Amino acid sequence: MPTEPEVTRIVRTWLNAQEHETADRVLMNVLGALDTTPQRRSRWPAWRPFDMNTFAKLGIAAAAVVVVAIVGFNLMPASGGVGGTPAATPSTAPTATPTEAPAAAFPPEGPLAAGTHTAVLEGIPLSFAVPGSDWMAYPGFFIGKGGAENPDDLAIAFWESAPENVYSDPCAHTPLSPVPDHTAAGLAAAAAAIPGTDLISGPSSVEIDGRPAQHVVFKIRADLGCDPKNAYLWYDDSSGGATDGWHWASALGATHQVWITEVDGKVIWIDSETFEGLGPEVDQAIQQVIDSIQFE
Amino acid sequence: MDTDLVIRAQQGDTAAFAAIASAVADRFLGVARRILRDFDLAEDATQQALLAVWQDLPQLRDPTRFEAWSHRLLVRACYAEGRKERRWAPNLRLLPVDEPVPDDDLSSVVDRDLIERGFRRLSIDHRVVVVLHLYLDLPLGRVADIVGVPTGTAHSRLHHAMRAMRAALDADSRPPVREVS
Repeated sequence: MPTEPEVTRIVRTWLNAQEHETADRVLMNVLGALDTTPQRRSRWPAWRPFDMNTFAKLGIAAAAVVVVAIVGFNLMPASGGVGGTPAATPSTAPTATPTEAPAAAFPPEGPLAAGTHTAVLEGIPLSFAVPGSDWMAYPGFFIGKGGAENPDDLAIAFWESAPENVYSDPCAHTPLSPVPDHTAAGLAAAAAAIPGTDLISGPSSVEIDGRPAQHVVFKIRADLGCDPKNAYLWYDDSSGGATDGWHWASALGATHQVWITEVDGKVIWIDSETFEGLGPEVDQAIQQVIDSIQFE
Repeated sequence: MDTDLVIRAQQGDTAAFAAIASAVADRFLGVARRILRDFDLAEDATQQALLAVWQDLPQLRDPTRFEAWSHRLLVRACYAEGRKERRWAPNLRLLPVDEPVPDDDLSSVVDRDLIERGFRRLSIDHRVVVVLHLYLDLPLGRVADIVGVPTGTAHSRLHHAMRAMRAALDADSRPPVREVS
């Protein structure tokens, strides 16, 4: 019987002895597809290697298998907001009025202390609280804990500008037509009917800070038909023309929740994503954040 | 990988990406082929991985980590394609034969079959670690980083894989066999 070092040598030799393949055909296909394959300019890290410093800062037990990276949400950069170009502000405009909406704002990237934090979405100031010290804020107006590569991940996105529409074919990136009413009810109905998803509940009438809101929960189906990261769910093109941001599914079986409300005539969109097989504490943590929201 | 090329590709420079893709495509295909043991699946995985590199490059925070990051995307693509992998051919019934078997452990078709069969029986988790470590010569710490597991897990997977391969090769130390229908 060969020893283990002999086996290692045999397998290494066998792997290296196999014929060299050229990827010319693949390369041609890939380069030919670039024009129709947009880059995803997420405003938060989709993946970054294990970060022990961050762990230390957060005081997370070494045994916790958590990668401080989130791909739970994937938005293209929208104008404005922390980590991006600030939204147009009236700083030099002599015609600015006291009623002008404040610029979008969000806690800076990094660990979030347990407790209350403030943000500005659609010119609407609000506050929210995170229930523990293991949360992070990421550029892109979202917060999360855990890492998307790990099953204890969760993340909540606060859209600084609510999505305009959903995709009627997430894999082909075909927008729903006609575009739904830009209201909580219209958008929630559209979100509840995205193909490739299994609706769990909604649209349901709920409250956020005592205001009527719509809530939708769905799962990404196993037979989605494409890689989840190629399945775009909804998008924001509020600046007109080009898409400012979109959200794609991160994993088959992931659960998405959407809360949509209206404040002073503005649509406020918040969504969350969690991975399959999580316990109820994850949903509870998300609900705690949603329940803590107060519009000013 | 030239960091400047990576940065340019991150900014949407297709020519820079073409240079990157040309530099890594053959290696990607070689790795995918060895993990998946199927050329068509390997081509699909390579294509999927290269497009993912293009799409997600803007999200790579540290361009100097391109290699580990891109290998991670390749491994992911292999996992995705691996789910489509055809089941290994039905086991053949083997009976002893009298012919001698050549000594050279890699010159023998029987040995190659045994290695191939043993390797295919490994899970993709194990194949990935074996290929990254023994084919790309990556240290297990880097393999673990790419796969997204602790280094100890990478060690354990390699050990398990080698033990399984040893058992597969051990069949060759028994009396030579011949195939019957």
